[in-house]
Amino acid sequence: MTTSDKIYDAIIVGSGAGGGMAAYILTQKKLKVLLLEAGRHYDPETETAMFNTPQQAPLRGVSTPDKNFGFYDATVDGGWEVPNEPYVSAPGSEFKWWRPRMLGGRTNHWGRYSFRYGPYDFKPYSRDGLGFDWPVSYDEIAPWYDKVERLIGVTGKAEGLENVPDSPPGCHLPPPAMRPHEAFLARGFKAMNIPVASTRAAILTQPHNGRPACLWATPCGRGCSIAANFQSTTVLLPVARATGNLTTRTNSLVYQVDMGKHGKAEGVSFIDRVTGEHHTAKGKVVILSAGACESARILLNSKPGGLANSSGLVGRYLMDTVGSTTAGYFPALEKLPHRNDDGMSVGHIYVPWWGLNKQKELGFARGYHIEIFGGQRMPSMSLMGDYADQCKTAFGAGLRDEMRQKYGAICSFDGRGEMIPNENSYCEIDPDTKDKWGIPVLRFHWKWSEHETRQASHMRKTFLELIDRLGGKPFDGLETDGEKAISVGGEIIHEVGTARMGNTPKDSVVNSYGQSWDVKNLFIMDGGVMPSSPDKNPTETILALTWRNATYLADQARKGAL
Amino acid sequence: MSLVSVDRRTTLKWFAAALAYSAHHGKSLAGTFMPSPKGYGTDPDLNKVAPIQWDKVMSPHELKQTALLADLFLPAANGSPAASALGIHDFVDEWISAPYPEQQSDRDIVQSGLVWVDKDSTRRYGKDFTAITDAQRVELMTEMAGMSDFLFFKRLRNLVVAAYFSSDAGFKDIGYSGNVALEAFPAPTDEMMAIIDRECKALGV
Ligand SMILES: Cc1cc2nc3c(=O)[nH]c(=O)nc-3n(C[C@H](O)[C@H](O)[C@H](O)COP(=O)(O)OP(=O)(O)OC[C@H]3O[C@@H](n4cnc5c(N)ncnc54)[C@H](O)[C@@H]3O)c2cc1C
Ligand code: SF4
Repeated sequence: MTTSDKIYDAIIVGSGAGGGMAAYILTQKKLKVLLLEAGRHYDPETETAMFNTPQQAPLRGVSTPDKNFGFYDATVDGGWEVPNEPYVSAPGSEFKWWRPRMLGGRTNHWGRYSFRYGPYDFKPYSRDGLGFDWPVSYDEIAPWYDKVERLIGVTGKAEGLENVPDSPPGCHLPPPAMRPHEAFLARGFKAMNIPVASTRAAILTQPHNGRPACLWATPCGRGCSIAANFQSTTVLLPVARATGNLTTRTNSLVYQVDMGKHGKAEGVSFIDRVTGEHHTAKGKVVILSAGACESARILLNSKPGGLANSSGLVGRYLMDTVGSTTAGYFPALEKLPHRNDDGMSVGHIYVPWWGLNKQKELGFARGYHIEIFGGQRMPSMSLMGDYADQCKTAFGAGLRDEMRQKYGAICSFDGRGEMIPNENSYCEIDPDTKDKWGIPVLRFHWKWSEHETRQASHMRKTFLELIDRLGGKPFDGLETDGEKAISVGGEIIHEVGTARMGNTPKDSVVNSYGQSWDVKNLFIMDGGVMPSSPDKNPTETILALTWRNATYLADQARKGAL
Repeated sequence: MSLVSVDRRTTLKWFAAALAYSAHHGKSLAGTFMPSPKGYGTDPDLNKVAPIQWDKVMSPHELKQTALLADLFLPAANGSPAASALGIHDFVDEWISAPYPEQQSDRDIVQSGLVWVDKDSTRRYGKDFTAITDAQRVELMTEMAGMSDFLFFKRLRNLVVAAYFSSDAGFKDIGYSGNVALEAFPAPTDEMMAIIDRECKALGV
């Protein structure tokens, strides 16, 4: 065990969306910050394989147990499983937990869909009596969304849609033009009275704050060596470093918040993942941004019964996003001439939830949005395998001709929906299993309710109707029984809700600033604080809340109130 | 399919396998990483890709059979190379030799299929698959294509075609023109919009 005498103004655990933003704000507010990151140092500028083709990778770059989202995906030392750091699911539950081990965390390979939540999303209980309201409203968070969008660069257009807030002028970057297949699909949605919208993505369609525009090529999941999309490692951490107030220590796996006098946190204990040595560090404030589940694990391991857990809610009401996918093949798209459909990796259009006023007849509360993929995209083993399966010619010259003719005619649809928090979905410390260093690991419990399974069923039926109207043939994701159509818990990688914020210490772990009710110099700055999980992907909201809460923290620190 | 949703599908299959294992052993191991011997590991250099570490399992005879089969699936035509000219048979060897679960299940399918092909060829023509005439090979392929539950044919076809078109030469052949930096992303041309309009009208949307 080594201890350093230095006392930092703040210790931040984790360097992803939450931790990166906390470091960005606090170092600029002149706090001396120690950033502890479990993963290794990572440099997108030199490490990203931007233009490499499948042929240059083993097995054409397909996903394997070593690289779960493919060889070139940016994830380092992780995925659904992390070497030496197991987790378990309780009998009867299935949960998947995606973790990388690298500076910048999941912001290096996230999908870049970037949404602000809408006014209803902050007050779900008030609208339909389910789940929990947030202690803050859209209007309180809106200015922070504005700041985030202006900083990181997010595309979008004012659509005037209910619960899909338009950003004030000057916030959104211009959205990209539709791809041809998207123009085609938009016609189908229109025929079903479903409005489509310009994509909202953290990708630069024009130069922004000294960063260049997207090249309209190279998959964002590999990361972006030119910093044209948002990564903590390209947008936040360089600014924090330049202040001279940031000390970063990588390969540092925090397992405990250490308590000092007067019920205040005094620092953290961590293990050097490379040497296996234990260390402690001291700080006037401790901020957990290790991702919702890992931050809960640290609290639960910090003392019997859990630190900052007088409410008993740490680890509880874990949520993910409801997911379901269908793919179809559209003969009409064969008619289009060749074109370059790379664009930015995300769909250039998406479908926001359109059923707000039909909630009663639908049989489920809340809704989902649709993300779209298709076009003449870079051939991969899986994509070309799907085309091969669509070709009728068994072999010979005709098979080649058919492949050429069909290329670009497959589209797929990902439904992404809201889950209502429930008592059967949570994480806790497993009594038996420990990681390589002897630290107890998480055990997950998971159950979808009918609100989610019916939603998954509705997604599938919507996709099948659209495919049918457009003369297509669905070939994957045909099952419409919601229990079978729905994703596995955690699979959509939007875990939130394990340390929810609220108005009282009884019904929440932290106040509306992410500050622990029990330990006032301890903050949670990741998705853990969310009381609900709207269909809109969470990262922009994690960034906005963290900007706001770190600003509050700096203010309180200055006043000596922590 | 979006890259990620395809990969989500694949990894789900491993999870199903891991869960079946754990149900057996009374405990979930779904979150435990098991290293694949000779795999490229969880942190390979993506820009300087090291040569693969696993040993190739195909015999020279199996490679010859695979090259012939690959060329029957995708023969040379009008300036397009045959599958074997792009080394697709070597790729199939790399694939089925890999230490990962999906590839290992393909190893059984491909190697037992190749044994069957020789057997059937010998039964019909008195010689193994590499020694019969082109016309006889086409006959045999036609027979295999008609066998609806013959996993080998379906799987090898899928592997060969996917490997072919996901190669750099295959990109060109199928008409993929991306992976190049652009100044701006162009909107669909008027010609494209007219086609979309015509097709949509024909479909009544
Ligand atoms: C493939 C993929 C696609 C996605 N697509 C989208 C999308 O399109 N839109 C969207 O909004 N969201 C998306 N997400 C989710 C998004 O990545 C997360 O919401 C976001 O990164 C969460 O931020 P975070 O700071 O909580 O966690 P992370 O970004 O994961 O950062 C946590 C950091 O903490 C470190 N850490 C963990 N434990 C410890 C410890 N004990 N000690 C020290 N450090 C620790 C980790 O190594 C990591 O670097 C996607 C995620 C993935 C994986
Ligand atoms: S699509 Fe654009 S933003 Fe994404 S990695 Fe490529 S160049 Fe960067």
